[in-house]
Amino acid sequence: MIAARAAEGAGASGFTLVEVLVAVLLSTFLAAGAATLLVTAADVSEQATERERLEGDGLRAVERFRRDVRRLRGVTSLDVLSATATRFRFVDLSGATVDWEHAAGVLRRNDEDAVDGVTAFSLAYLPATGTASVPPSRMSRIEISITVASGTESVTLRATAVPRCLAFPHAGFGGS
Amino acid sequence: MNIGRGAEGRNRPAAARPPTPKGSTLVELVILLSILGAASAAAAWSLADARDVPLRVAAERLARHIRYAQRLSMSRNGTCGLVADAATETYLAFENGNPSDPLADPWTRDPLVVTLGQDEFSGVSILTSAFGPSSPLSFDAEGAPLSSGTVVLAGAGGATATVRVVAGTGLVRVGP
Repeated sequence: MIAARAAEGAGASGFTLVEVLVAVLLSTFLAAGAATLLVTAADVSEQATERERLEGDGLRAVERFRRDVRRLRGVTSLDVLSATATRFRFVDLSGATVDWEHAAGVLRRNDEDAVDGVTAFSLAYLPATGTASVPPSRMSRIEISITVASGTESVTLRATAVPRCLAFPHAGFGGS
Repeated sequence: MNIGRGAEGRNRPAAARPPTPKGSTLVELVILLSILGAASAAAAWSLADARDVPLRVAAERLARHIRYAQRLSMSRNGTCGLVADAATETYLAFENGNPSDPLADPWTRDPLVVTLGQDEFSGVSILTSAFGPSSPLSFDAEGAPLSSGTVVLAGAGGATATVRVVAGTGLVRVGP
């Protein structure tokens, strides 16, 4: 192009505005492509970090729930105060009331936030064998399912919590 | 006259062509620079929060180290925690129930002591800390903090980030 320009005479040398703009446009495309790669890599990294956090928060709450349930007093059926799909409230071995409740996207333990961003939560009260729910007074285990989400990431955890001591008449522990 | 050049194959009559040179004029350059200036202004606008990146990274890392001490505490019967000293801009995750006995970093095995305000955290400082040397953050065997509170970090641009430890459950939150 420069050679062509030069052939046209001294008065026609140099680039025109249009040529420079085209060059700028092309380099912009190149830069945009490179930037997209960078942003994608950063996003992937951020999502992985976020996922790790969600798993950590969820696992910690599930572990705490299992430890709490293990300490269910269970001397009388009155030790289970409330047992629904979203709430489990009971008296533990020390006589303290423990209250796990899911409401408005937050899982709380004794009214203190335990996990944020809980999009789904359910508790099922099950006998020693089988998957059909039973009244809490006849349960042997609690299946917990929790989904924690943030942005595009979502983690679902499932676990079983087993009360250690259930003295009231109970199908799973030699009761009638 | 320019009749000779017109006869060389140019489309336009020679008389219609202005006698000015074909290279970039000052006006064209100014226009180009204005366009480039506007484009980079737009780019700079979208990157305005890039200055706070060290602050956000420092806050996330502090939160991760708190969670790490918390997880270890759950498996080591409540002997781990963290001290964040605003006077020295340093935080330390500890073990063995001794606030001056640093944990090993899980990846490098180096002592888990982080000093802000230098290297990748230049400009970041500890504004306030509820977990100073006289009141360390300690976790019990359930991962619950013995005392709740916040650590506020400040960035180079004047923005702040707050790492909050929720009482009772030990949920660690990072916010503005």
